[in-house]
Amino acid sequence: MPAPIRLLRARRPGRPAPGRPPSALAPFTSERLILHRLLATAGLPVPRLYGVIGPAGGHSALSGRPLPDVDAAAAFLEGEVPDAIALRPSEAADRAPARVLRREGDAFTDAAGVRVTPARLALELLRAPAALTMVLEALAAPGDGAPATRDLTSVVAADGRVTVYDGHGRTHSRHHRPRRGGAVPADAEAVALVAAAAPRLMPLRAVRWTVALTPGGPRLLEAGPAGAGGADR
Amino acid sequence: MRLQRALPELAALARCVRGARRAYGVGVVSALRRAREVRRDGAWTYDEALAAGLLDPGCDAATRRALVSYSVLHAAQWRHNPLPLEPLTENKLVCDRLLTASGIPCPELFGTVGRDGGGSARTGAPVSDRAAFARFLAEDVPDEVVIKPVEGLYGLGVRIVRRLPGGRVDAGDGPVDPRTLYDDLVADARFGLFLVQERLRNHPEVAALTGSDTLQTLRLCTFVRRDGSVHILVGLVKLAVGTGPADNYRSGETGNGVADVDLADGRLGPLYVAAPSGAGFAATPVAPGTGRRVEGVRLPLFRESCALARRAAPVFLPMRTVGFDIGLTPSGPVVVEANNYWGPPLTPMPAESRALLLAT
Repeated sequence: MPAPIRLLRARRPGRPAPGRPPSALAPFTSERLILHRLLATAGLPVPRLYGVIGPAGGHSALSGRPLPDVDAAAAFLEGEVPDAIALRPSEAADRAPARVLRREGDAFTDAAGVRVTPARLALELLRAPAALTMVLEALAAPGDGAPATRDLTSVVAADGRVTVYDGHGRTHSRHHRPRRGGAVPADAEAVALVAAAAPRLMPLRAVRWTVALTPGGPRLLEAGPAGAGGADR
Repeated sequence: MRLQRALPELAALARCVRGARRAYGVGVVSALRRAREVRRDGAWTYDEALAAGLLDPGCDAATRRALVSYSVLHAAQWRHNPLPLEPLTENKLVCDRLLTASGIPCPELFGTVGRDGGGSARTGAPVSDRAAFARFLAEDVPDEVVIKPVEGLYGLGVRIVRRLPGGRVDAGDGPVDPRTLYDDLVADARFGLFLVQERLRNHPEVAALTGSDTLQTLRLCTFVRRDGSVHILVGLVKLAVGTGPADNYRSGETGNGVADVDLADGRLGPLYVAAPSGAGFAATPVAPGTGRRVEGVRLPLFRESCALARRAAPVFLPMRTVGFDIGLTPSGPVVVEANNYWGPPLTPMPAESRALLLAT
């Protein structure tokens, strides 16, 4: 029986379901910025964060300056960030895909060809419904599209060992050898990355991860509690 | 609805006036007028104004204006600190991981335990039942640890746990079986998860201030300016002159005291302890009970602590203002906690700090 099922069955009355993050652990995954910081400071590969802008506040991770108003945010977008950026709301419940913008001349252009100046974009983000928007590295992919992603689930066993499951419920050991089924459908590096990242979110034991497969290696994009109430809630 | 809102307000006003009359012997009309004035001008609640000594006829108008109420301070903190990122400081597990990964000295984390789960930092294994907790306390931690809630405040739920011979532990109420302590922790209705961390010791010069072995911390509140530089807004030291395992002041309820710290040289001002009447506080140059001198004493490691706070503040950006509780230990300053909603100081803030913090 797969470990997440065993964990769910072993649930005792009064104890939270393993898939539902208890309140003290909810911030690990409910805010992407907090998750990003926990993973990035642990040296795990995540898309680079250039800064944060929003009505709730902001800062440039490149210069260390706060971005409290439209002038500061516009100067940041104009002069500090590279030519390709991805915008994502910090709140994990907001499932909107990343908005990728590329600099063309003195403005940014999105995938639909809509142009927006840095000042206009700053104003838009400061008035956005999202309290905080993360300004991230736009991940490279072969061709022009977005990189492929893998959904993987990690479970920490009672002895501390990490088991990684792929989207088909097949297991992989830390050393990427499939325990059941012959094929390894997920990228072996992604499995190893998830196995290394899982202890960073302990005592959250069952975590569902989304990993981007880029030419430079796998990057952790998302994490959420696995099982009922998981990342794809 | 209006009556529902007005009744508690009227009750608080009556409490405030009664407290002022008892403490200062002032008339009803004079106390009423003063209470209304501070409510209107500084957004003070009546209970808060009484505890801060604002109903004291000796407290002049300039001092009243210079002090900052909770609601004014919290409005500023909400403006400068994004609400969704509260857990960066208020969740001690998140805070610990950030500080550790950023190379900021903080107490060593041995693990977590509670109704929400748990784990040992040494082995990586979950600590999720009585036997695992007993094994964890026996094998993965030193003889003495601090257990405190991940989402605690005001020192609530903090325990100092000592390992005893024969496999038992003392969590402050005498010897108990570790499994009983586990039952207590998971049954806690207020807090679902606790940190198990290193117990820090006071620097000898700090211990000498009160004679208490409770860790007494320096609170340094920082503000990140627009250019990214860090300004220290205020400094105060919390002295454990009450009883209990923590140094928190909690509006004077704990019996502990606070003393302002001169940011230029780390020299302490008088020690403030809550007045027995609950109205205002008493200033004393010495620690109550021991008679040890506090006022005028220079804190050890003060410059190093300021440097540490300046280094730690950018870790929490885009939060711009954080109150760091810094333990002054024999091996140097250590960030014990970071606070998003640090409380207002008992005395007026320096003008530059006030201007920076309250600017809109």
